[in-house]
Amino acid sequence: MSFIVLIATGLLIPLFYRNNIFIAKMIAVVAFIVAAYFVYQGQSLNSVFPYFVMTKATMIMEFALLATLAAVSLTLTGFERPLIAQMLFLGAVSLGLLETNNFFLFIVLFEVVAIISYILVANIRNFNNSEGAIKAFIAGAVASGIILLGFALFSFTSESFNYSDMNVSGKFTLIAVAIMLAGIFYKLTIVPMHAWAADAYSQVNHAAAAILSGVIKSVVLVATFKAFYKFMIAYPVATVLIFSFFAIVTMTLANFMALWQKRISKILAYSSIAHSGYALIPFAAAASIYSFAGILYYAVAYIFMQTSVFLILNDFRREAGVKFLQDIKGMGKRAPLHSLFFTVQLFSLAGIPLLAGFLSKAVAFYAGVDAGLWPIVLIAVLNSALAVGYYVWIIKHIYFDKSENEAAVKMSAGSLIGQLILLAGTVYFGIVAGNIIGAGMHFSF
Amino acid sequence: MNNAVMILLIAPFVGAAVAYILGKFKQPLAFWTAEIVGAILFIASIVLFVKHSGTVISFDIPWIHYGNFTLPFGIYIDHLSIIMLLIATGLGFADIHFAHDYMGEDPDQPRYYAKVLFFIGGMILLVITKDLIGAFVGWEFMGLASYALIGFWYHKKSAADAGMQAFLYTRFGDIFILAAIALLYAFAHTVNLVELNHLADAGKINKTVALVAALFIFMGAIGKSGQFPLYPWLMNAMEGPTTVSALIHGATMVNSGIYIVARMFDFFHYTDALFIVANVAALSAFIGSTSALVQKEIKKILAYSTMSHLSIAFVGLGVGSLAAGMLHLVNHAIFKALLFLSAGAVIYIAHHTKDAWKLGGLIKTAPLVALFMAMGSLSLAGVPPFSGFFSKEMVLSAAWEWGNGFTAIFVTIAALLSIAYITRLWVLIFLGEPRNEDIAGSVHKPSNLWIRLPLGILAFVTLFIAIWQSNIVHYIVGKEVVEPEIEGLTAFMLTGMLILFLIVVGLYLKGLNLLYKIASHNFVQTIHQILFNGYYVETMISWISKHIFVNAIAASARWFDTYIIDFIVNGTVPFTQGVHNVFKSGHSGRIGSYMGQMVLGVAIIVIAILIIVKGL
Repeated sequence: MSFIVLIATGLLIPLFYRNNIFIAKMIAVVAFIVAAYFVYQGQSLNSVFPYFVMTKATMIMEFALLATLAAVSLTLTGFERPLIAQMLFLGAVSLGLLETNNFFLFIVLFEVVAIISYILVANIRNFNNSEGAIKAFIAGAVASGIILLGFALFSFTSESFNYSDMNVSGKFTLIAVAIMLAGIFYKLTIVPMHAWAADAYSQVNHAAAAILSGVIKSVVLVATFKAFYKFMIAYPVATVLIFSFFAIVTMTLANFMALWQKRISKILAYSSIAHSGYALIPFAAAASIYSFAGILYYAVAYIFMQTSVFLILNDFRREAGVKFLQDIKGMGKRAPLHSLFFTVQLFSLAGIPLLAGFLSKAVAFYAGVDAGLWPIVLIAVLNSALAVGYYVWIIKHIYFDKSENEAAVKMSAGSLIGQLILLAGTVYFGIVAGNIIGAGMHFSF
Repeated sequence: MNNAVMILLIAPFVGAAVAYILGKFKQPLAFWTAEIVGAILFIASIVLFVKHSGTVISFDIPWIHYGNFTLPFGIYIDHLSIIMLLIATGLGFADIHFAHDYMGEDPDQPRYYAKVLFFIGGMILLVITKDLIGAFVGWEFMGLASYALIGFWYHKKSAADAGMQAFLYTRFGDIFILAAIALLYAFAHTVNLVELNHLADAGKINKTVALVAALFIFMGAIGKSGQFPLYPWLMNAMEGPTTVSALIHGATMVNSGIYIVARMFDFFHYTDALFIVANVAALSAFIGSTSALVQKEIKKILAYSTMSHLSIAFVGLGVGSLAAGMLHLVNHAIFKALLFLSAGAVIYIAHHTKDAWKLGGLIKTAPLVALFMAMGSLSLAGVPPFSGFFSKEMVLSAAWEWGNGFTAIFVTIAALLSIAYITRLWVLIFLGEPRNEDIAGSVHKPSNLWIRLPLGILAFVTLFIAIWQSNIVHYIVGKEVVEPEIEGLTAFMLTGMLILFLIVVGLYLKGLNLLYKIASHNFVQTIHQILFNGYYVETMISWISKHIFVNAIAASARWFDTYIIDFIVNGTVPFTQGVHNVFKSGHSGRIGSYMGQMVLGVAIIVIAILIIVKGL
């Protein structure tokens, strides 16, 4: 039901947003609330098709997703308004991606999400936007090719694509899965498939970057874990080696790259890549019973904080032309509300306790320790400490430097409500941990 | 969850935020928000008292539950909690009401009321929580509020310093509580207060660990309740507004140390830590009561008497009588709030004069305040039929029956001396001739509604609560209590008090010349200096901190910091920049090279898989 509501609203909403964006936003928010209600009732796609299953874990992730999408819709203005329709489509497809228990559907829905992301970045207003869009598109196209190659190989060996009765011991399975993973790593921005992301996230419209780096990545994280869980259990050695290697390389490289950037969007882009590195630890620790809780917590926390920082940056860019670190100086005085939200979310990204970012890291890393991967967790913890350097550097510019421009930056009501929703998510999941962990401990397809 | 409990948990913190924000728009709104929230909290406590007498509210919320690791957050409300709730919210409400006039001219009222409500929230959290962790959070909330309120007038250096001192002294004790929590979590696998008592009753807990944990917790209680040797902060805390001293440093927060020992009474009993509790407390009682004899400032006299009376309650617990200790806590909270608020009224009408020697003869201007303060004083002194008499009597007889000689003698001396210092204070303020013409000329009358009414209510309660003493004991302990009867104790105490009373009244009212003559003697002056400076404990602590912690330990840490840590920290900049430059070469911005990297990634994975497959 929620799927139908979202798709139908998405098809209808272009009628409204050209004339009255307020009504369009309200309709979109209502659609998200109705969808959330149906999710709460336990009926999403599973009530229509047999290839979808709703568990408590997916339910929590879907709530976080719908809340974030509603928050994003509220903040969009001006030429970003066509994105509202894409929010609704993305919501619908993501529900499917989260609920599916069929590998074929996973691949198809993954591609649909990729197509939506191309439409998002195609909202081109200047030269930079077009460069980012082209890079995202070409990288996506190559990755799609790689995924399909892997899937073709896989389809030789398995007759069923249901997660529960897939054949995981075929002759080509391991190599097929590895190639598919390589394609999916592009979306998760794992080094060395990350370079497009560093450019695209920082160059496309920041609202689109918020969705690409925050929403889509979180959804894909959870869906990928579910899709590949059986393989990861079947091939423990390969799982630990491959995921640990890419986790370490990704987080280390991204953190060192982020430290010396001058463009704020680039810092946030590299921080997003570094977070993908941390998120690979529960994958490597798939053998641990805490691994799914770790990935679920990571996705739920990450969807709020990463989306929020890019949206605030979008406001800053639109209202005050902020691009570089020096432009953000003195924002604590000029835009107190923006700065407050920005600071809290950056603290959460850095992993300061009582915020979701901390607990998500704690749970994900605990899974790693539980699986005996403490050297990797140690490297991840050191990397987190390194990352605090660039987050705090931004905050230092906001609050402790003076700017020559004193003009106040106003916050629109939509933006304020959207940010409050995201902040509520970050704070709530930073304090109340029981729900997610409880849901994540009972992993099933 | 129970609605009243929900309100008690949430309303103070929400109220604090609302009071602050509304007060920023319109100053008086801060007071009215606080007053309403205070009333709601008090009513919620009364509802609990009426509805849940005889039943225990208990539920567990797993805060973080993860594998073997559980951080519980439970609520446990029994009679002990309800009594503490009534004290915290009732006196909190009276105090907020009183502050209308006392803080009426202050420009920072929103900040004041927000902090007070936050404090009440912390106290409520402490007394209704089931686990040491929740208790610790409440404990620290109170510590934070206390720090912020002592330094409320932060532009005054003495107030800011006093706040800092209170923070450091109490934090020193709190570290031990944290250590105790860790110890209990590791060895007893529970931090549940109720369960710990059960474990102790059943003897299922290692006695050595339990003793260390109990002593660590008592260390925190020493800091919070101003016992020897961590009491100097309590005296300097009087730099804060008098309403704050009344609520936090007289009636409620300083009780939390006693509360935590009472809450874990079986645990303490099992570990034999009560022996140490009793002796430390007896010593503190003696120090407090003797030092109170010679102080000049009204509030310092009351502060030392607070210390002394908290110690008396501790002695009650320490010698094994939960009933005596808790009864004295309840009585003391009420009459000490009355005394502090009366002192606040005196200070307010005398234009913030704190030195008792500059006042005098105030009974003509404020007869009702004098009467109320006299009632509080008599209760504090332990004169029948006021409530203080009964609880003190109970503690003393328990101390003589079950305690050792040291405890019994010191606590008796402290109990006797209380009539001397409180009479001295009352006589100095209200009787005799005005000693300072300027102050005497400008004294104004206190208002009825905002000052006399709360004082009157508290005085009324102080007098009439004496009727229900045995009911209170029964309510807290839950069974009939057999208290030892010591023959002749009452007669001895009353005679002693009468003699001391006559001496003090005679000396300070008629014999000031004789007093000056005695005081000019060298030996007496030395004693006076020792007492006046609180036995120089503060100086000793400062000396130890300076010479051992700062000059020895901190200096070597500084060497390590300068030459080792700084070297590493300074090295991070060139190091990270170097690594960055190496990585940077891969990010040219050319999409062709990016695609090349992707193919490289696929190649890495495929090769790795091939190696693994071959290896297998």
